Amino acid sequence: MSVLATIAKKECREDVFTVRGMGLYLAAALVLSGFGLLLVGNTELSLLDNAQAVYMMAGIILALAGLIAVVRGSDGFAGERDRETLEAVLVTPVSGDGLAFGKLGAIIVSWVLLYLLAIPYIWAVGSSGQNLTSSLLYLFISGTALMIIFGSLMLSLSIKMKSFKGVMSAGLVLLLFAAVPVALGPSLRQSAVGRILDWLNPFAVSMNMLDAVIVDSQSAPGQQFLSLLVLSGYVVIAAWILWKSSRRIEL
Amino acid sequence: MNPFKFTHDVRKARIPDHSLCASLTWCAGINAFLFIFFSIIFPGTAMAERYIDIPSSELISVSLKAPAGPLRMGEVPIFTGTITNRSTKSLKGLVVYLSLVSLQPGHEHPVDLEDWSAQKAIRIASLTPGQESDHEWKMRLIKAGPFGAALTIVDPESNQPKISPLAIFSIAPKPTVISGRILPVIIGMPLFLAGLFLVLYRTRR
Amino acid sequence: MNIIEVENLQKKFHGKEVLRDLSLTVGRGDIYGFLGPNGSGKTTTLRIMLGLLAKDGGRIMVMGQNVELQDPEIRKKVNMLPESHGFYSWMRSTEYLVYFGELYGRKLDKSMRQYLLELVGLDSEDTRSIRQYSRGMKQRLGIARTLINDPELVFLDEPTNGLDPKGRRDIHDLLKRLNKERSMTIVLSTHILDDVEHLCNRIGILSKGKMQYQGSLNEAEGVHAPLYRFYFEREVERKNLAAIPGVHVLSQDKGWVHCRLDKNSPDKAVAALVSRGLPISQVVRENQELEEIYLHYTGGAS
Repeated sequence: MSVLATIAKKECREDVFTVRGMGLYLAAALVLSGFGLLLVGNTELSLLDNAQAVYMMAGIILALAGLIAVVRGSDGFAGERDRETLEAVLVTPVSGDGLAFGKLGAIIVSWVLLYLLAIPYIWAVGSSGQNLTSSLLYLFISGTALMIIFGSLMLSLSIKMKSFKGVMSAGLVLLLFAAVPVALGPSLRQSAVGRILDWLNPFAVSMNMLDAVIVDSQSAPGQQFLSLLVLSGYVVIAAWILWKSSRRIEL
Repeated sequence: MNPFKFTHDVRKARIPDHSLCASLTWCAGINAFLFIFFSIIFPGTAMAERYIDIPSSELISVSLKAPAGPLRMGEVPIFTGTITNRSTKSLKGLVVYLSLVSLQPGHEHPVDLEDWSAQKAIRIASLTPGQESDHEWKMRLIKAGPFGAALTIVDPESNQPKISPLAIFSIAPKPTVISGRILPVIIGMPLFLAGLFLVLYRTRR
Repeated sequence: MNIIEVENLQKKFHGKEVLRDLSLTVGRGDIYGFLGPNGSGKTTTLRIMLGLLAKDGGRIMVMGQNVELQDPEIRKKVNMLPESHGFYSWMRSTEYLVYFGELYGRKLDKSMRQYLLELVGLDSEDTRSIRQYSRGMKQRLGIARTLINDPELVFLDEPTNGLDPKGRRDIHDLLKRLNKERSMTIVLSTHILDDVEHLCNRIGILSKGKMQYQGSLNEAEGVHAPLYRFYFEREVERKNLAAIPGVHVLSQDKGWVHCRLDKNSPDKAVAALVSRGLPISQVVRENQELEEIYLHYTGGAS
């Protein structure tokens, strides 16, 4: 088994066997259940079109994914440093980038688990509507891209910053900045500045792509080519940043 | 010569209740009033179902046509608007925008187009005398009930907006979220995870 | 042949100098005691030697390689027991060893796991997670981990912390055996002098980021201001003894005089005493306690 897989496997088992790891999934399930409850209990939300409800749920899932990337990424090195478990690992012959990408692999597995957890919710909300299959497909694509982007950035920060709390705070601020343009009104987002901000923000790119796919039924890859290209670009840049910052990991 | 050109049978048009006017937006209200007024004066004039034109005494006429056939929530039908320059000079920089009202009896209210249509307004750079310009508005039907849509056209040279008659249509309801399907999931998933977590944690004491 | 060579090592944290021109050498097969009070820079030095921290100056060669290169081949032959007590508490001891074994590219089979755990006195059938272990058990598990890759060089940072006297003796025996049977070089960073006295053949005493002394333990016990007991056939006056340069009388009990000689060889002192007609008949060199030496070099810091 490669070292990368060894590290990813250990991180995943930590996810399952610790309160910290499992708590995240339980919290995610509670958030999705809460939203599901609103969809059947709240008058306005219950009148939403299926596609619209699926789109909103997809947004919540991506936000949860971002949060998990921030928590897991911060914990990757700074958390281990705080718990004093990093030193023994750094002494081993595993290279810094091997260690970092193993941890990134585990973050992606966390996303896959979250995605599997979310499928029943998406099915329950969207099976009577349109574009369920393409919704699930594009949610997986955009979620994976976002996890790689945020996970890589957080791991890079985690390598450089020494305190877990510091990295977490920085990560949450980053996540908030990413979410803010999505919260802006449509008119502002349709302005030139808004459009630039949207393209600069991988979270907004993902949400716009999901909007087009789920709500506007534009699920052909050609229709989403630009969004997919931009997301891929961010993935490459984030992975490069992680590779650069993990070439030498200090305690 | 009849100064008002009606292209279809006005008797077939669905005219909203008079009480509606109070709850409509100003544009839709004025338009409805004009419509009722002219309908009374010229009772025999023709008008097609869901297709109303405005008097041509003005420089511009604007009309909006709702799609034929039954409409259902979730669909994205196309509404066709026609803008005609009835004057003898070219008109420039016309802005045409769409308005929507809910006509649910007792709950009439303007509808924010935010979720309904990404294409709320268009600009027509120039319209030569007699030229007719057709434009399509895609509208995602996200709510059931009776609705009315109207186009408002703004001519920068005139200080009077022109409003099309209401294109009235009804959206059939469609179940959105099936509570019988979602409840087992929203209750079952957290319980399943909590149970799984407890089992795993107990085996790892 | 030296397995570690450090020359003029410098390190600053936030502008504060924590290591000042530190030099040391560790020979192959040594058990090297790295002594110093808390905060003197021992752990920092070890971390720099392992490439876990960057240095600000100087030169470090471990097994003939510059450690800044962080060569995986060197790391396969080296291991470390950190002072910190961080463990993946949700793991079982066998899982912990298997995980680190895989990081070293080794697949630990059941017999190997059993051997390692029993070597440090842990039960290989224990299915409890590490969170249930006592501090001493964790320390033993940590030592088992450092042996996973059968290293040539091991850095042990306070290895007997948290162990009871029997546990400490067990670890002493184990380290001696590993050093003897496998020629394992051990660098022991500690402030527990008992460990050093039982295990080390060479020591380095660090204080305030500077190496104060380095050499064999035997040399250390006599290198600086050695203590002597002189026996005179009759009681002599203290002022006669004090008049001899470099002789400091500490106490006097009838014919016995307890004194420290200031860089004087005992021969010169005896010659001076005889030349003054003092009836000296016996000269006994006293072994200084390591604690005294340690306190001398570290200025009494703990």
